[in-house]
Amino acid sequence: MPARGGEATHADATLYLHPQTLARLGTLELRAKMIVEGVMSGMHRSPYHGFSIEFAQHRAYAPGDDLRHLDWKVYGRSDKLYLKQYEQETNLDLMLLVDASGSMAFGTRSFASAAGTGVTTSPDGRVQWSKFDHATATAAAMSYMALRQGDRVGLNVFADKLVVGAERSGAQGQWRRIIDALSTHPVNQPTDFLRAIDQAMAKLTNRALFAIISDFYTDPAAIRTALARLRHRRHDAMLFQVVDEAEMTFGLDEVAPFEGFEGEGRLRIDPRSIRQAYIEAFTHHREEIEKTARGFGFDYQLVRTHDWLGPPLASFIASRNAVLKRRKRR
Amino acid sequence: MSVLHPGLLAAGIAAVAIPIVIHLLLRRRRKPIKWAAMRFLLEAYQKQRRKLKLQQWLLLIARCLLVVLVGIALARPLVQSGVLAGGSAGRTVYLVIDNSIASGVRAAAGGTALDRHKQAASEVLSGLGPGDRVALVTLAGPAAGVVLPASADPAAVRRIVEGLEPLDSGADLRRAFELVGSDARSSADAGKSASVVVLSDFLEGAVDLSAPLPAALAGLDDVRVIASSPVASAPENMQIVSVEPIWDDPGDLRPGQVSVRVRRVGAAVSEAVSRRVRVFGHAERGLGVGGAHQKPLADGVVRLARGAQEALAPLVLDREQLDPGQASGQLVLTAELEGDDLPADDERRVVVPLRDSLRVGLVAQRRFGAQRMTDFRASDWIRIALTPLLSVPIEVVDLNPAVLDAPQLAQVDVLIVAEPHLVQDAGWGQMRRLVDRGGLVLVCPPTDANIHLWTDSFERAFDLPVRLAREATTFAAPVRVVPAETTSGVLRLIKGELPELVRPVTVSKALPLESEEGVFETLFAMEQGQPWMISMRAGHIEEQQASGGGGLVLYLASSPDPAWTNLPLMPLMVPLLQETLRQGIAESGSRATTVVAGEAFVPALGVRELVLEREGEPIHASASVGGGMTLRRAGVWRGVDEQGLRGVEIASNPDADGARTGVVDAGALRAWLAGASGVGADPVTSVQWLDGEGSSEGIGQRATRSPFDLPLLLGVLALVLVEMVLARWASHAGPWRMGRGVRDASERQAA
Repeated sequence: MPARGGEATHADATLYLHPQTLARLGTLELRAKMIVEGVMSGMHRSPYHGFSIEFAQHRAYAPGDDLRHLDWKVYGRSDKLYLKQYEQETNLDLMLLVDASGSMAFGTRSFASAAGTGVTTSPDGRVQWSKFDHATATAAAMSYMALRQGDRVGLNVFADKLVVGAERSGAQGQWRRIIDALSTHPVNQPTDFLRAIDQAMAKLTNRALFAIISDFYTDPAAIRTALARLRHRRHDAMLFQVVDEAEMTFGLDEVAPFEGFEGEGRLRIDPRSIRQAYIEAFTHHREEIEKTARGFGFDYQLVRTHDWLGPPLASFIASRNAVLKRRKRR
Repeated sequence: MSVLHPGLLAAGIAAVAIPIVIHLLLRRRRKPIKWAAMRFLLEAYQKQRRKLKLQQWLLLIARCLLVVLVGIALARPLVQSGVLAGGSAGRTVYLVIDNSIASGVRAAAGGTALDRHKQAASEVLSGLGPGDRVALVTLAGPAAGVVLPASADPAAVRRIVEGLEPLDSGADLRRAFELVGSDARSSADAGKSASVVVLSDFLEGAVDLSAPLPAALAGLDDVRVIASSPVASAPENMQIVSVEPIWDDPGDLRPGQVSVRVRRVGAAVSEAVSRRVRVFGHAERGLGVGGAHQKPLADGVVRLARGAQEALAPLVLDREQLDPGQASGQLVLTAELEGDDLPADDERRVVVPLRDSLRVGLVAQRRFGAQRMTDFRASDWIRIALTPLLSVPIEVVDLNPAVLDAPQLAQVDVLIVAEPHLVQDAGWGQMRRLVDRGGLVLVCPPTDANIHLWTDSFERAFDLPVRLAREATTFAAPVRVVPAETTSGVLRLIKGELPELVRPVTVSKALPLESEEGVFETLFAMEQGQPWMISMRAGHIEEQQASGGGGLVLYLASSPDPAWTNLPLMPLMVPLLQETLRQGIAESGSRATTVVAGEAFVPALGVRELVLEREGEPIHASASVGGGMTLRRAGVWRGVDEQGLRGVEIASNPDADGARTGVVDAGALRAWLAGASGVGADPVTSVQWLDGEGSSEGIGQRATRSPFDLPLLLGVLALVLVEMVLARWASHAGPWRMGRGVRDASERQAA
């Protein structure tokens, strides 16, 4: 929940960030702006208030030190030479990782349902509001918010390897580059999570906040390994697991052949006969992802394509602040 | 073990394919659903795989088993009672019922013998179990397999038995046993036990002890004969065995008298008895005579003296009724005897052809102008012999031998071919057609020919049973002619005077027979034994020949010319020609017009069906493939040709021999019936008497029951329940199927 604001504001924010609203917005850029405006307007007190040079600690003077940093007040009271050390707080580096594997193309909600009267297809002709649509909208909103705060933002759209990306930057044209990079489609390939993380980290020299938006339909062990590497490099991470309502409930009733998006083959089955086992497997996997993420101290957020974007964005903001505070304490 | 309806069992087994086919058909139609979370689907499936497979197999087995069980239940499996382990199942009962003419004998207590047979049959049928099969053979000749092969529906057989009524032909036990034996060998139940239950009074007419039964059941060890006991006392019966019209005068076209022969059987022969006999007439057209409501044509009494079994009653016909003057066609004379206990054989019919005049075609070159007698040729002699007086009702038509055609021949009843060497092949073909439709052809050699090549065409056209010489034989001294011993009726009216008339006739020249290849009648022979005048049937159709079908062909070996024979100058000439032609055409045209019920005959050409008009529905009888027919009912049948037009009438008479009511010794009968089981069969073991009261026990004691009806029904119901539960279980439908874990997971997801 984004704020402690009034009900009306909250309601407005919900309206702005609801997928139905987003779907009506033709372009991703406009979508992201609307999302952020909605979130911002719902804030009672903006957490984005700039950063300054702040005192960090004292240390003893050593010959050759720059005298400009001597703390004369300390010298006056204790007659000892101490240098004042200040920590220059740079803006946050946000690294967005968006999953474009085949499974992200899945979606059961129609555009017509999402967009309301008059809009039945996406601008590129699709009739379903897919998990990828939801993921890109979320990523765009996050990057918009971060750029507005002066953060540097980078983007990697990946599947089994890097599909498309935008180098980390806080420059004025970065927003445009990110939007262009997000305007792509899922590929019929499985997710290679470890490889995507490695490719993203290879370009980083300092710590960053990773926002990973995916359905995480991959081996939990690979995810654990990838997150361990992030933690080892002292990065922070937020995991946004995007799922469709139908995937969670598996409410089909007729016997039919099922076919995967990523070459898993075909399976003819009566859904009712394995619904219990399916839901148990799904839940177990989801819980394991969450447990793994939290085990490394990372945030985890379940994102449903049928819900509005408030919770994930609020989670993003909270997580960002927490990261900054942690770094400040150091 | 066997089943009552093997077809249903086979269908049930075949229906096992239905669930499988439905499964395959449904499998083909579905379009695949794209699903992102396949890893969880596969994981869940791997976990549930064995359980799901087990469910599917159990469901499929239950469904197939259900179909098979329904098939088995409908097929009704059978096990012989008391021998559940390894016994043979339902047996076959061949019910042979005597519905012959003798089964119409009325008993003193009322009812006929057939009624008793029906009652016995009903008891036999009641004693049968559901596993038994029953066949029905009726004995009225020719015996018929009414229900053959055996049926598993005794109720239907019972209905047929109840509808039986006595017919007019004699019992035909031979054919009945042949039918039973043939079926027992060929049926699907061959090798299983069977009973042949013969229900008859076994009167003299039904049993011919002099001729053994065919061993139709030989080798069939499990087939036993159960016969009703022969009756001990003979019912009294008088019957008409023949009715013959008698022509008073050779020139008559109507019979003047009827000779009725009466026989008595079973009665006290030592007593004298007299019965009234009446003769009624029925003409198809023209004559106003007919029916019982009409005045009889003749009425008299036949008397049998003490000890006599037969008597002949000549009855004078009422010529006033018979001679209206213009009619021609067929007259059916029906003689009726005063009734007795077996009325069926108390009447007899005969068909008499009626003609106003005889039209004779003389095939010879016509000569004009008056000739002297010394110039007479054979044709002239023939013409004079045919019409010696103007009052003789014979009309002679001269036909040119070179141009014989159908319209010409349609006008004549008889052809006399005096100059056959001038006839063309087409002409011979036309003559053959005349004979086939019942006409008569008399052929004699031409006077002047040296080589008689015409005989080839003659023989070929008529498929004659003889071959004629091609050169005439001239005798050194005239040869005398003698009348031959013959059964032919051609000369019957002048038979008594023949010796006197023939004595002066001599032959100087003749074209004799060269070889004899078949059946013919010699009417006159030459002194040395060679046939001089013969009567024969046109051949080619064997059945026709055997039964006397087709018209007559007469051949006179000498041309009626003084150069060949002195016949034209002798008194024999006129009666010979006139009577030969008249009786010949009567015999020729009477082809199969009077028959005996139960005996095969060949109806007139073109007749495909006979119809007996009686009260109620008309009865139809169709010709068999060979053209032969057998009628089991007496009466006047009317022929129907291929165009549906009705033509000649056929009088069918009751089988007097089959109606003989003398009793047969039980021991001899048993031995005779045992003959059906093969030579040397023990009469005591192979033939058992059917006790009238215990017939049902006698047959039914080995009857079979179906012990599986109720268990199978329960099994089917149980399987239906199992299938429903399994289907519900396998479908995972409904909230009650959802386990606690699933509900919790769902609720967590929803939250």
